[in-house]
Formats: sequence, C-alpha cells, structure tokens
Amino acid sequence: MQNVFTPLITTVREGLRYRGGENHLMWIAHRISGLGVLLFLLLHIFGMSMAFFNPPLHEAMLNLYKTPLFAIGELALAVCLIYHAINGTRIAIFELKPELWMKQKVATRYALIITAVVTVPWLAVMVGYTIKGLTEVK
Amino acid sequence: MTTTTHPANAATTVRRVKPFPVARNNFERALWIFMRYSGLALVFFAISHFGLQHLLVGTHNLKVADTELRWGLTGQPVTVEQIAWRAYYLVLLILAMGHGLNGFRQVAYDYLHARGIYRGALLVAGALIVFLTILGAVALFMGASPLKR
Repeated sequence: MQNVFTPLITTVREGLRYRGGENHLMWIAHRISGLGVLLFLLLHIFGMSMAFFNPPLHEAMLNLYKTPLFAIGELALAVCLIYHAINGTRIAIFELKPELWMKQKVATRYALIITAVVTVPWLAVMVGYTIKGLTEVK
Repeated sequence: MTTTTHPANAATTVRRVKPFPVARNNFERALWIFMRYSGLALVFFAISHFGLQHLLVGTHNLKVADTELRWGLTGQPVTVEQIAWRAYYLVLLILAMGHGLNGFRQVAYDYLHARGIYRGALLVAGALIVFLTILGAVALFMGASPLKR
C-alpha cells in the first residue's frame, strides 16, 4: 500500500515545498479545481440523463442540489469553475502566443485579480439564492 | 548524440546533435491543442450555462418542468428552440467530458507512478466518462420523459 501512495504523498509535500512562486501554486490550484469540477460533472450529467431514463430520479437529483451540503458545494464549485476558466484562458493565450512569455508574472496577478472581481459578486448572488432557498418553507 | 574531435583543430570538441524531431508524438500534440481550444470554447459554454442556472434561475428554483421545456418531451415534435438548446448542451457535454478526461489523464500520469494503478485509474475514469457522455447524449436526443405524479 505504501508503494502506491508514496509518489502521491511526495508530490503533495514537494509541490508545496517547491519554491515556484505563485505561478506554481496556481498550477496546482488549476489541477485541483479542474478535478473538482469534473467530479461534480459526473454527478450532474448522470442526474440530467435521468430526465429521459428515470424522471423521478431526475427530480430527486434536482432536489438534492437544494440541500445544505450541496449548497456549500455549489459555492465551492463556483469558485473552482471561475478560477479554472480565467486561469485556463491565461494559459491558453500564453501558450498559443510565445511572444508574451516575458509577461507571465503580470498575467498571473491579473488572473488572480479578475478571478476575485468576478467571484465575489457571483458568490454574493448565489448566497442570496441559497439563503432564500433554505429558509423557504417547503 | 555523438562527441567527436574536429579534424581541423584537435583542441576543439564538436558535438553533432541530431535535430530534435518536431511534434514526435502527434496524438499528444493533438490533445495539447485540443485542451487549449476546447478550454477557450468552454469558457463561453460552461460559464454561460453556470451563470444561467445559478445567477438567473437559481438552484432552489430548479424544476423538472424547465428540463422538459428546453429538451422537449419524448415522442413530441421538437421546436427550433429545443433543437438549439439540445445542440448547446451537446457541445457543452462533449467538450467538457473530453477536456475533463484528458485533464484527469494528465494529473493521473503525473501522480500515479505505478503503471498498473495509472492504467486502472484511467480505465475506470475513461469508461465512466464515455458511458456518461453517451448516456447524456442519448437523453438529450430522446428528450425528457413525462413525469407521472
């Protein structure tokens, strides 16, 4: 068992110890957010497919998203998706345009600022919906 | 790569390097390009979908009736609007799942060093993602079944 997880533990520890600066940390965050979105997508596509295969289950899946646990997960999903989209745009633009490579650090900072500027009002609207949804009498 | 002594000057070492073959692995190259362009497309498709459902509709307002309205009901004639919704969701489904599968593959390749574990993880994730993509595409193509209460 140790052989299986040793590389993983080493990677996590060295990934944090490696002094690659914010670009390196953003690379790690890009992977984690991507996997997080993928995990939700598997559940989401299954739930939506049930609209044809099993409508009562489809309705149950939609109601599942309204539970407190999923309401918190929804906020995490929003942060992951927005960050992944904005950081991904930065990566795509920079890797397709080598002439910009000297400006990596500035772009990283801009990506973080744009993520924050988009995420904060986005979350505010979602939290409003969540509070309304959870406090409504069913 | 070979190291030889240049015949003209015995003190000079000349290294003959084979030119690095460009794009040796065309499959990996195609996937690399796919990740960039599908990512850029997904910024539009995924963010518009997420914004619509979470900012305009709101999660606590989700209803089966919305799915029925957008997809159309099984066996009923579909409107132009419903065809557009289905096309939009189909593009989103295929791009997101392709992008997600290759992203997972890259992460798994980096962290799962045991070959068997890597292959097993890729097989499970690949089978799950392909299955769900087909399931979702079939459901989109067939439309929503009426919910009996």
